[in-house]
Amino acid sequence: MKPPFFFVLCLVLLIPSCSGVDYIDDYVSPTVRITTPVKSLTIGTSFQFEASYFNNIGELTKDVNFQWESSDTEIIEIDSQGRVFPKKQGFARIIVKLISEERIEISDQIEFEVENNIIFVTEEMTEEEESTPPPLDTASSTMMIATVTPTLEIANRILQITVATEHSFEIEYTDENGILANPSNISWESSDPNIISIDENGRLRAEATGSASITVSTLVSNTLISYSNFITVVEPVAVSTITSYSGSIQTKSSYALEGGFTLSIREGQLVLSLDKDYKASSSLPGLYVYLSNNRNTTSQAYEIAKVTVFQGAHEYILPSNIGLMDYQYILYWCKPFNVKVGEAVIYN
Amino acid sequence: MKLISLFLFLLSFSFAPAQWLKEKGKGYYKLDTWSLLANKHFTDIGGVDPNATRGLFISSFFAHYGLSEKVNIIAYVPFFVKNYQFSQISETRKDRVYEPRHEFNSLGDINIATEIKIAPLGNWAFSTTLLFGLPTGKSVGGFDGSYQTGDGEFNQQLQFNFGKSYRLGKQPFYLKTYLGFNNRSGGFSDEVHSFIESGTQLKNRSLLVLTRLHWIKPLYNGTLDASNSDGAIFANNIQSLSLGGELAYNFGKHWGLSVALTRPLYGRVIYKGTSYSGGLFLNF
Repeated sequence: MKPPFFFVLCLVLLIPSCSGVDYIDDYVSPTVRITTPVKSLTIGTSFQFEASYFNNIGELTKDVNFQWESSDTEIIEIDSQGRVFPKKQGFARIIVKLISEERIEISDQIEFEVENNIIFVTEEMTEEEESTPPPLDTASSTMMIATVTPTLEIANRILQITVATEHSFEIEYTDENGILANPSNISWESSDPNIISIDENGRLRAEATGSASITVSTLVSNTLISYSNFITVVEPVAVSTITSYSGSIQTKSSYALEGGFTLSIREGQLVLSLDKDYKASSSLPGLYVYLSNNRNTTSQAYEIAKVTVFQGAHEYILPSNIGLMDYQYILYWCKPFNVKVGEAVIYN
Repeated sequence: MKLISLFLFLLSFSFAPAQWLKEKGKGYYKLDTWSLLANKHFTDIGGVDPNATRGLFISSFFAHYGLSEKVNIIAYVPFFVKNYQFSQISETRKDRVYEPRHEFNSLGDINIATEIKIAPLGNWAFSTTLLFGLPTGKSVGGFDGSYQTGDGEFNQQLQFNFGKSYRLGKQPFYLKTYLGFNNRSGGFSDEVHSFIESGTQLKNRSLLVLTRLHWIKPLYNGTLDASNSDGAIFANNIQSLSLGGELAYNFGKHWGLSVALTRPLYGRVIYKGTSYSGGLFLNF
């Protein structure tokens, strides 16, 4: 029998056309995420909240319509574009909603504090003031013969207030008999209404930066007694935001990988810092580090760099267009084998 | 890639059962295909991790020729080596191709060797083999460099071969084994190889059935990491214990077909997958 050379040559030369597909299990629940990590806002400010929508493979999807809501519109108002206007001191939540491609309503929310940002005069300050000439300002000395001098004070004096903040004064009046009473004719006056305005009920509003005195006065037996509060008006304090997240990297494979990390904003730049306890196996071919919104694939991820440091503290400086909350996971990935080696959750 | 080298040794010494050296002017030749597809690999600590499905396909020519009664020459020429990876597609969104199919084809690393007969001792036949691994393949290949078809180093392996015949009942068997030292260059760790094979002939000596075990132990004296800046996967410091089997059928007086498979039982830095091979052999 002769060898079937033709058959064997076909076997040798044609079989290598083997082809196939790896299907990547990349499903993640679609999410909407508020990406502005605000801790507190100040009355008088406005702030633009931002959100991102990630589809069922963790891909950032643009040009979607978010619905913004406030949990308490007395504390904070928000417009349809996500710009908030703090109105009143307290805690409130901002909620963003979206109908996903799967026709499911998804949402995210963030709770923060609305701060009044008024600095009150404390008791310690009051004691210091009492060692100085008394605040009672008598326009006339003719009443000094009374056994008890009527007094008029502001109970909730303030040192500093931010622009656009309002505050209601309370007064304490003691009459000629030393009894707390309600004076009949109270008048309020600002030394500079352009800086601080005040109404007849003692409710002030900081209009602009600067300093001004608020004086409350009353007429007692033809004698005018008054009390003044010197106040500084400043610009609203900037929005307080979260500036870093920390956690730990854990191996998800048989290769050694562990260590702490901090993702932080440093001088406007996002920086990924690995702690000194970090260590990784150098046996892996093509180990890379990524930021991702899908822990099962790097297809939508930002590739930071190929790993060249396998032990000890080091850091990666990231582009300034990447925000602190743009990605949820740090992935360590074997690029040639396209397989996850380890991961860290930046935030939940 | 080290995987290639591993199976070169398996191929090189399995085609002349119970006949330690070829007689002068006689030869054994084989046109062979070998294929491995793996979606798992043994890690550096012996664990098993997944990987993108990768394949290696080798078309080769093997020759074992008797220059004299005591000196044989052996050559293994992998004239076509394909290193490839499956395309990767989103299971959720089938229209998203994360990675297209990648492949790289070239000549592989050629092995040439000489085998010298040593005087027998009792029932044992002895020979020694000096093998040279030539870096004729590409150590950096494909779009990211990791689809290499050779390890890029010139290695020299010296081995001592032992063989004997024995019987189980009335059935004759053969046993052959070797112990070798592979001196690797280019920053690779040297290796110790040990190999044992046993088989018998059935169907009036027309069917050969054999099984083999191959163990590779690196000495960890190399300087290479797993990869270099070009992206090549050196797979230095690999370790493996592989079990294989083969059927070879003589269809004519001078020719036959063989099929074989090999599977690593344990390893480090090596694919975990069964390899299959088949080919036409000629005996003159």
